[in-house]
Amino acid sequence: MASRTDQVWTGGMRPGWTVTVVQREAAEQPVDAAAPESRPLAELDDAALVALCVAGRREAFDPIVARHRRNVYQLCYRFAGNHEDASDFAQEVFLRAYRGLRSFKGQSSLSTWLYRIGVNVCLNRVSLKTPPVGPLDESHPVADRTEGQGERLLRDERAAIVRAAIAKLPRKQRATLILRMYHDLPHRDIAAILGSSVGAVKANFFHAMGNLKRLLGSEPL
Amino acid sequence: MGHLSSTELIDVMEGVAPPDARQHAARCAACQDTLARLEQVQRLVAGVEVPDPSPLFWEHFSARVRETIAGEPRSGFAAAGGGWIGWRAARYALVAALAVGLVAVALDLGSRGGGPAGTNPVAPAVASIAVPGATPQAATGSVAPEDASLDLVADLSEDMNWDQTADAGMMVRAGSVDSAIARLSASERTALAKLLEAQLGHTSS
Ligand SMILES: [Zn+2]
Repeated sequence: MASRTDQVWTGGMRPGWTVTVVQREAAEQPVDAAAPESRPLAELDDAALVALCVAGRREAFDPIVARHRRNVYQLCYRFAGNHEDASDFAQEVFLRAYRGLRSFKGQSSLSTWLYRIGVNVCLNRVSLKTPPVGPLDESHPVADRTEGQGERLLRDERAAIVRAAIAKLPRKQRATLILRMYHDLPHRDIAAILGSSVGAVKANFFHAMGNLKRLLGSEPL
Repeated sequence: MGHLSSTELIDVMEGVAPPDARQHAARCAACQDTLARLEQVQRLVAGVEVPDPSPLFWEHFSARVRETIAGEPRSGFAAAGGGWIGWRAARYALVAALAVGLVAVALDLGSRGGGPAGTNPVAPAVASIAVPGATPQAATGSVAPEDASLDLVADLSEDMNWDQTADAGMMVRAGSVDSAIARLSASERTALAKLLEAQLGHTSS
């Protein structure tokens, strides 16, 4: 990146001497303090916004929320199964994230870190509540409900059944399935979020699918 | 080769399995059956979408988060300085402050006529000093001398307890050294040049 000269002093010095003070926007510069403060917050990347938040500028958290709220909400909805709880959980995710920004080491992306907080919040909160959707009626597998209903109704009904089945999965299987299927996270990232190995994540994913197959009314895998 | 393991089956389903696993899946009826079931569940699960909330919801959501964190303590957030960028930013900012302090000491010495007198007879024609966190400008064609000046400051600051200094209100905005130096008078800048000259001569000898 190009340097720019801030000050050059030549007066009053020994002949042949020039003292030049330069500031360069280097990639490793911890906080490019001048640049972020002079640019609109929405244009800054997550790392710069986090730095500003840590420096005490609360408003720098706004673009972070705007950028990640949909993914966080959707994650929470997958666990909660309804809008009210999903909204509530998502709000808690951002509050916890704000409180914990100091501990965010930047070793993963901010979105992965938010997913990690989100999974923790959701698993804790969901376990305190009654099942988010009604119990799955295993006597009527999804495959039997394909005739005589409108497309929309069928889709909604099928979605409710699948959600109910997912809600019955063991915690790690549920989290793995949600992160993999609905958020398209690589197994490596899921492993980091859940504190597992990649192999364990794949095995969890496999068993989640097998359990879903059983819950959804057909013979087991 | 036995049947595919659970992880191998997932890899085959996702199209990332090694050739031998793919070949086994292609000729083993049992593994093909398992894969077909996996894919059936995958299709069922993938078809379940999250209902999109009202467009107004997102702004309300952001506003609620904003209100919530407004009640969070701001003081101590940066001061603890233990975070990813925070710690590093605090460290560099404090070093910058110490650099300014170094200049002030030099000016004081200069005003008493007791400034450093040693000069390097083979000093470079152009010397540069980088602001902490910055690097010397290549255009000056000079060798980077920031090690000489900044290492001194870094040494001074190495053993500081950052939490204590922050609690004491010693947090300094990175970049403040720019404006501090820019406010120097001509004579002060002369003293700065002498100080740098002496320091660089000292460390290079
Ligand atoms: Zn096989």
